[in-house]
Amino acid sequence: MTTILEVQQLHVHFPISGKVIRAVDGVDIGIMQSEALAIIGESGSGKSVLGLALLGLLPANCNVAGIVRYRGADLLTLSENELEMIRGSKIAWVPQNPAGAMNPSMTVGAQIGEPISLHVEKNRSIVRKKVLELLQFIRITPPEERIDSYPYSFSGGMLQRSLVAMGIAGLPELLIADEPTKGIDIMNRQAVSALLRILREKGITLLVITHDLSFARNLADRIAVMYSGRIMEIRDRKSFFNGPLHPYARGILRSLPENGLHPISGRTRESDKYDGGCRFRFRCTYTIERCKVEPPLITLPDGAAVRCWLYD
Amino acid sequence: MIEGRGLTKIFAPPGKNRITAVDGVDIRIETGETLALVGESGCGKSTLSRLLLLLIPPTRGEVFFEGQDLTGLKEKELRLIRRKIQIVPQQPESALNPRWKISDSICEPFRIHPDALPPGRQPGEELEKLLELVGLEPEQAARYPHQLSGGELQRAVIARAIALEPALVICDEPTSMLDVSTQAAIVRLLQTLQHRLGCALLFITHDQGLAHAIGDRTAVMFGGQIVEEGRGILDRPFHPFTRRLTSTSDSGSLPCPEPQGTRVPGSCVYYQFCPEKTEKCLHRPELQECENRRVRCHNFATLDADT
Repeated sequence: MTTILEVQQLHVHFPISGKVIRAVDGVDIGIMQSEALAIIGESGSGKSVLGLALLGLLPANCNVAGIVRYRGADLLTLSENELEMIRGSKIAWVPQNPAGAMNPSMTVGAQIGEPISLHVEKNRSIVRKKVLELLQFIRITPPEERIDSYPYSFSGGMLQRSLVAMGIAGLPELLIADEPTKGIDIMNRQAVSALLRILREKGITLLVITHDLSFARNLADRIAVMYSGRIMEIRDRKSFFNGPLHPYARGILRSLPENGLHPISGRTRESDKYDGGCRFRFRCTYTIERCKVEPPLITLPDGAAVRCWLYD
Repeated sequence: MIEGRGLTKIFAPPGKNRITAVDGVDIRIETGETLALVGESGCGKSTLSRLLLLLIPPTRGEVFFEGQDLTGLKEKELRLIRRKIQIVPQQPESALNPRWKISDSICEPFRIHPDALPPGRQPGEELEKLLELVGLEPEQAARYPHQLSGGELQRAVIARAIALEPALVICDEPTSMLDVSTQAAIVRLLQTLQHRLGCALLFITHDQGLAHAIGDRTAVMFGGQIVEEGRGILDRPFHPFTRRLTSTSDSGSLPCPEPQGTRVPGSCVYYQFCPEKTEKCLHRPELQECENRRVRCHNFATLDADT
């Protein structure tokens, strides 16, 4: 399996009123061709910022450092024009909050067609035909009646599926989806999950950012756990859900309703107060003296990687 | 304790089709119990919760609270009742005044109901107690809503909801925007508070896993109607919709959440979606009592025999 996108030592720091928020703080991760990789973690752990950083979509007031290698190029060093050639056509982004992400004054059809006319095909009647096919594919039916509707007339689940359609309209090889199941009900979650699975079978590589564990379990080949701007564990899906290694990962599984709703005690430390130790040690039940030094990502014989001294 | 009888709400936006959001719902919540109300987005769960508080007037039906009929009451009389029924909304961001400090929002109930304060107590003392109950630091209460995280805001909203020691707290999807460990913390908090204050909870959610974990009883709503209600119904669902909710099977094909064909007037609300429909289903079924539960389906008995 080849690596399609390689992230090395990615840092995203926001200098805000005298403090430095370390949203992403040294992430190394490779995304394999045709896999579905889920990044899970709590709100504020830096998952979305990581996704945005990959595509150069962050505001100018933050400091981004590191390497994002894609097809021989480092995405972080490309010009805006060069990035435009990649965004939407090679790597596409499905933003969270579908209601806020769509343009309320443009029809859904026109918005789904935009990446097609930018990257694939200019002829308007062909674009419309492709949009109709996409609507049919995401089961927004009948497409002829829906193509000229405005976003307000769509339900949250339909908007979310429309965003996925928009993401794949430019025929990308990598789709990054940010919280595609947040705030939508079970039927729509299943629909989005099935939709992404079909895309994966078609060979599109998926990077899914989510805190919805059942969704990650249904979809992903590998799971990466993020906490406080760092990757804490990377593992294949099956072994992860059979028994996660990192104490934080165990904590999130124990918080699930079916596992008894046991919250992780304490709260995340503010990232500007980072002191060089393990970031989870203030909430961890296994903390030892050694945790004052942050462990590296330790690779285990079965290929799993975990950032915890328990596995050294 | 609170009971809705035949609650119906029809929205008739000018120039558009009428929407029956809630359709003849009977609902009852006993003192101190937790009723989980489950259903998809748009099935009328939130409208039902607003009807119970009479925040919107029902088209038909009545609400009784501790034996008293609320439907005919004047706004002033209702205000006294609403002290005892509080609501925790889905989006705490939009439930707190962005220009007020968190502490001002939490103390607002005491400004509206000054007589609710124990004699000689200051709102500040009550505030301290409330903050401790929900696990917020005084320093956080001095901040503005945009300076807190979603979980912290939800704690603030809960503090405000329990300020007047209500008999019923309606939680409208209180955790659907939160991550799992925060969700667990908030749900635990609600349960602890319920235990301490003895209040009943109406917990509205679209997550049947969560409903299963916290509800004493569960009611499943579809298309404005309660289609199944009782104890343990998520363990052993009878209604085809409840079965669909609880089935974890992922066939790999794309499920279709939109209806097939158009609605037949007078038919079962689930008719267009139901894989088990028969000719009988063209006539709307009534709720039938069966083994401590109520089911709105003509065929559930034969369906159950199949499995």
